[in-house]
Amino acid sequence: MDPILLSRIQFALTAGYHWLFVPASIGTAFMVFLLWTMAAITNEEQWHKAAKFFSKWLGLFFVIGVPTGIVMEFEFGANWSNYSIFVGSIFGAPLMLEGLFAFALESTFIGVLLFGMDRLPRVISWISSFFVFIGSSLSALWILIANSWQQTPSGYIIASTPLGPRAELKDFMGAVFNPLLVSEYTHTVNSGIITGAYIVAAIGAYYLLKRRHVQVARSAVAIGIVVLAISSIVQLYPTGHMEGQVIAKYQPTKLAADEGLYKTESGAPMIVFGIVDEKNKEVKAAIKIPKLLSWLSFGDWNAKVLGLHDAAEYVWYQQVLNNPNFADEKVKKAVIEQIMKAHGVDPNDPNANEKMVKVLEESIPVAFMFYAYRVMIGLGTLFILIGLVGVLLLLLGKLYDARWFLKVLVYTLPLPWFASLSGWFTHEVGRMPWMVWGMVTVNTGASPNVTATSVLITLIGFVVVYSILFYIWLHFAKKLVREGPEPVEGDVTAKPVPAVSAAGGGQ
Amino acid sequence: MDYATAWYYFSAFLLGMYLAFDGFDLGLGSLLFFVKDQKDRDVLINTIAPVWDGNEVWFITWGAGIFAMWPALYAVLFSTFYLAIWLLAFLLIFRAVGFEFRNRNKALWDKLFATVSALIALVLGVVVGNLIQGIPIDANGFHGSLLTLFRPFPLIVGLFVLFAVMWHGANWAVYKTTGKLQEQMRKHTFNFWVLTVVFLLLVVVGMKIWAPLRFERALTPLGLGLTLVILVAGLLDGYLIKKGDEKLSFYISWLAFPLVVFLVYYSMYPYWVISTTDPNFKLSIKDLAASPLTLQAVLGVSVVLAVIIMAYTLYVYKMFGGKVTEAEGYY
Repeated sequence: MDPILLSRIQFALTAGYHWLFVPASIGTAFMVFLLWTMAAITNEEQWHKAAKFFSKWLGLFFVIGVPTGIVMEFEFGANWSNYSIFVGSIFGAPLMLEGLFAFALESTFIGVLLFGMDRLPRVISWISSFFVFIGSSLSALWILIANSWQQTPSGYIIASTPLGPRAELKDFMGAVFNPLLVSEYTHTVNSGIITGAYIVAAIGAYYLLKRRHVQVARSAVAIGIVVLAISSIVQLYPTGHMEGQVIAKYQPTKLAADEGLYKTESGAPMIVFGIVDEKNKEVKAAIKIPKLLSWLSFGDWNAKVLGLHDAAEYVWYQQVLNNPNFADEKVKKAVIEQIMKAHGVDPNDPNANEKMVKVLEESIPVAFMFYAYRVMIGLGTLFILIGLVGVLLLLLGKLYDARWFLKVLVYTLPLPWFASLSGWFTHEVGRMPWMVWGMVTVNTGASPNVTATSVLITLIGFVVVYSILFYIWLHFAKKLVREGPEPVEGDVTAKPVPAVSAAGGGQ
Repeated sequence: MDYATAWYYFSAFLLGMYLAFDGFDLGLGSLLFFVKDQKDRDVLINTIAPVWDGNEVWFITWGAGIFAMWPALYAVLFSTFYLAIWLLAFLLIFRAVGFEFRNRNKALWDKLFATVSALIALVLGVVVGNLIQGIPIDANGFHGSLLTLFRPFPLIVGLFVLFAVMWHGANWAVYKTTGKLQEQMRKHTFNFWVLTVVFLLLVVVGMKIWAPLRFERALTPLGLGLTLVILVAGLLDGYLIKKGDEKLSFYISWLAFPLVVFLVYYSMYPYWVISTTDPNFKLSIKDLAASPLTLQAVLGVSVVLAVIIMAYTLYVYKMFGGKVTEAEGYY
């Protein structure tokens, strides 16, 4: 077996698993803060009970989110040591600051929130929920500074050192505010808020359908639906749109793969759906909206959008060979030869550059990207629809009795996870073969001294450990659903499985 | 002082804070082996439940600090000791999850939690022991296996760390509990204090034998002075335990960790890695450091933030101050 392939599988597995809990944590933290705020404003018991109940859910997401995140930090050094040496000077700093700025705040105050809500004054719980939310959003900020820098690096110089060539910081703010940061950050955090809103709304809907904890459930569904409607629109515009424009400019191969665009076109159409034929390099049975892609990407109906091959050529010649951030020609030559060799191209071959373009072109699985991208967009659109219908029902005063709609909420609860996973796929697979755009590929970044057997052992370890974790997590999630929030006075249906449940919940 | 050196000692501070804070919950976890009564175990767990998540922060930050400021060291250590590092990672995962989910099957989880806590302390000590003694490495890479890590000296350091955190954990338990449980813990405090002192002396002797370069450095006036302070403080703690001054006794074990870490860092300066096979092969903190601007850009803000974290951490400890008698969990 190939240790690099195994390391990739391991990283994809661990990062993907972590990614199941991150948006949920961020979003639930936001919802919990909103619920504690509502409790403070209205001083009504059902808001307070809802706040306490969902704080426990936050704890449940947090418990798995944290250790699975730490694992990824370990992987950089263990599986991708050359990558760590090459970009650690820049990439490590945001990770360090994440610990100090965010993780400390988050994990200190989640303790206060969970253990203090029964014994400390409510105002302390409210403040703690605020700190946990701020902590988790700042945490996302630093991590995404690191991630977006890899996608659109800036503020650096590639210098020659005794340890080999490496990227060094030239301009701290320039590296932090790299082109992708703002759109990636807002888009990602907002995807978490969609997930959090969905969790709160769907759990509330479940209780309404079961006619249990009706008062708390109504509060949950109402606030969940309102947040869902707003955040799902924000996800499309401005955040998603902004991110698309940055990618069109800086990562043209990713855009081409997302859109299944093989040939360069002026006034390129947007393909709503189609079947990708990777062999013949075309999209069959495509439903197209003329010129829309050009307009969305560049704000010009007739703008030229690069097809995959031309995009790969652009990346290699303009973004790699013409990268102005090499300290000198010697470093440039060393880095480029290293990349070529790692991908089986002889640097002395007169056609070396053309061969590298081919490598770049073939590194991206177009069909996978095309479908993942459509799953993301399709689900995003669905969330807007559900959010708007929900708000309409709420305004008409019919939300709590519309059983069909409550059922929709419950049954579609897994969808936000599918959406954020497919978003993550498009984002991360789309930069193949680059770990750091234009500098480090997966082949050059891997640890040279780690054997396939070692990686296989840990990979199996992860599959076993993460399966156990998931099983235990589900057990506690089920238990939490069963127990439900604490009873609210006057809510006669607070106990599970009442013989005669009073519809509407004894208000 | 240059930036690499400043970072080096800031990193010592972070590791010291980790052992001072998380040390007692690692130690308390290990002590669960000796506590038979379920209710007593619940009480002990509850003394650390609200704060242990925050305690881990210091470790994460220390690790990230090594990554950020000495990426080459981080890469070399992690890829060289691949399986050992992942063993540590799996232990940390199990500890975190076991802790939060222990209500499902307390007897089982408590055993697991105790084992994992003890192993983490041991392995951490072993890693530090390897850094002190040096490893068989040269320009061609590492010449050894996983077993190289578990040589006599690193194992002595590992046991020293284990006993020290158990002494610290018992001190914490005495500080936070009452009645019979407190009495039981008081005995452990004294026993593990004795073991800690004995193993500290073994470490010193071991350094003389196996790590002469580090030992020499520790004999300079500052190193010697620090050693004396640690020894006096350590011996004083035995007296305080006997006298029953639980507060001061805990504070002293709390303070002992940063001091010991500082001494270790001091004796290792300026080489992160020394070779046991090639006396000329040494990697200094400057050789391995990140680019100057990175070191410079993040240092000031990190120090300020560490102070802020200290402040609110202490505030939270005050919030959950006082004795714990009740056994309750939030799931």
